[in-house]
Amino acid sequence: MAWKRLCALGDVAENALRKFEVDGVPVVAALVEGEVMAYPPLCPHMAEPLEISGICDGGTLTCTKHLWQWDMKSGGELGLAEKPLLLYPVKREGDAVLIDIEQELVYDYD
Amino acid sequence: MSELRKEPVLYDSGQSMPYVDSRIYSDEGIFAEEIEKIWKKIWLVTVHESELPEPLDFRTLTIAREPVVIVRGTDNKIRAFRNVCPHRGNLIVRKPAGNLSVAEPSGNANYMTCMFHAWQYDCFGRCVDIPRMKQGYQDRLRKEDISLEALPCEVKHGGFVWLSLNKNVEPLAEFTGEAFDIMKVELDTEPLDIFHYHKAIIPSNYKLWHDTNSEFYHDYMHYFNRATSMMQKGYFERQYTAFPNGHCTVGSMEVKYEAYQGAKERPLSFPGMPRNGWKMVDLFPGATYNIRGSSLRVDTTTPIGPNLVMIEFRGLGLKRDTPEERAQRIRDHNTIWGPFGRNLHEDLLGITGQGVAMRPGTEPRQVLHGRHENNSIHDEIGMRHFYAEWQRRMGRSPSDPMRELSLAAE
Amino acid sequence: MGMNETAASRAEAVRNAIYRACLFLDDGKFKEWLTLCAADFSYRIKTYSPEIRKEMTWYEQDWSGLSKAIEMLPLHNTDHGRLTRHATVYEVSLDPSGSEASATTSFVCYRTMLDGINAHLDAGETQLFLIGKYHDRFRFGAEGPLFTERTVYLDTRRLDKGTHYPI
Repeated sequence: MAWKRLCALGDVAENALRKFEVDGVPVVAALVEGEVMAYPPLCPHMAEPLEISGICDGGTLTCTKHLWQWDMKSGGELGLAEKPLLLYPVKREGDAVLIDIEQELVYDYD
Repeated sequence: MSELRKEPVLYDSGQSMPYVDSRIYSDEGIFAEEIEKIWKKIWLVTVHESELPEPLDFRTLTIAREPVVIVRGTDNKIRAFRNVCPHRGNLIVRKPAGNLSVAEPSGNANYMTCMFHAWQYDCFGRCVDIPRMKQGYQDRLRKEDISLEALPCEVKHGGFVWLSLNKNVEPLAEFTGEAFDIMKVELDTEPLDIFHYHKAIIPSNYKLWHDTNSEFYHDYMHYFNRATSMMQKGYFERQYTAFPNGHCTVGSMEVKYEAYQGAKERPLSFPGMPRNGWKMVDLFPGATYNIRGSSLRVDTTTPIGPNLVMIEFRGLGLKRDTPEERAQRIRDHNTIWGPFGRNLHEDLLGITGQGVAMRPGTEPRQVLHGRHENNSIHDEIGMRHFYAEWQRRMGRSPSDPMRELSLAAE
Repeated sequence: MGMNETAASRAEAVRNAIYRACLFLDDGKFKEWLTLCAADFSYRIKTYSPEIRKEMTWYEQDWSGLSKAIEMLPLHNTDHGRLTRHATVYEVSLDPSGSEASATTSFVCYRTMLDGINAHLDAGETQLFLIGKYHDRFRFGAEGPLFTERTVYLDTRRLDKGTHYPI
């Protein structure tokens, strides 16, 4: 476990992915029903940058390139998605958001 | 005239005045045949490798109307593909140049994306994504079975990308043979680098531009040439040499560079190039390499119609040029051969005049190819050699082009 | 220019010089054009090639190189097209020292054909030839601003037959 500071609570947006870098590891994060969720920055399909092409709406993330969708709380596939979103462990410490980036999460793109 | 003869008049077959019939420059049917019999069958020199220096760099062009994309792979090898989506025949890569790491709006980074339905291809031509593939095609079509058609492609002769639309084309080394030996050292000792590119679309026939590049009697058109090179000792000693497949070379007699060395500064040029030397390779069906002094110039033609041709002009130096050397090359090159240069405008005026006088619908004319001067600089052997090859490939005599040659006559 | 000249009148003098240059160039009065230019004048025509993804300098001359090229123009074959410019000076900047200035001018250059390709049909037709910007630098002397630098930066890269004339 390597908890590092991701950002301040006010730095994440409801319903929009923002990109951060923690010790050189890129992640994207958003506020989903009051909880901060963090994921690898690229789409598991073909590596599209999610902070550019992702749309969040009511807890559903859609990558607008090929319309893969996921439940943002669980990372589970919805609609056309063929792979789940991977989730980083995240916790709050007062106003700060911490993330465990000991293991950088990377999708297998074949 | 020749209509009364039984056999077509073969080109340059012993007449005292060889000629071509101007309909080879104006007839739509002959143009269409040239595209099929020559341009779709042959090796063509296209872009320079320095236009694609990084992996995933690409260039697009058309050859005999076929869209082509040239890509440097992640393995650093340059490949060429038909730039047409196998789905519904759309053009895939639209920009003239770029790097595939920049995603297209319909696609992802590192791939060629057809904007239409977002089918994507990697730098090896393999299809990597078909949106909703199973939903639409079930098991009848899989991306694993789809790829872009690869074309014969070789980087050679000074780092140029040579392509062919003909899957069965002979090896490039056989096609060019020894034609490049005259400038092998200049072209292949160290990497070259492009600094100049421009193009012109001119109402004339591609062969008329190549004819001008194949004879130097037209130096009379250029004040600059009359006042300088024509007056130089050795001008009339420059010799043409003909090579198989319609190519020829012309240039200075080999001068020992050592004779000019000493305290003097080495002039800016290319490795092995003699001081005050000049060397040219004229390639069938329509490209030239031309080295003089600090300038290497490569022209390529793209026929658009019998009376329309696009000419692309490239200027190159050495990759290791210092900024000062490069600036001098650019100045030298453009003073003569840039779009505002002394000679280029005149050369283009030369062929537009022929374009008017011999355009579709004008009276057939005889174009004389009769200068014989022991293959020296004002000899017209360059053109005679070209049209002998044209006759062979077309199965038509350029002197009597409206009738096909029987096999026996070839 | 006198020390009492205002910034506005200096800027006006720069604009006038640019337009006077256009009038001379339009009429093919290249020698007169060079009188507007300082002895250390440098002239270049540049553009960017998206094909080779490099800046290119298509022409570069100093004052004496231009003067010689202009003198030799009548010895060269030409299609006698008349080039006419339509220019608007977008911006004039005066250096804090007051002795130099720069200007950015948008121009359109048309060609009215004489020989054209086929004079019988083409003579009298005007075509768009080039568009681009003039990036000029000036030095103020006793008689007003002289050009010290002109960079003709072209948007148009298909010049087809081209020309020998300065743009």
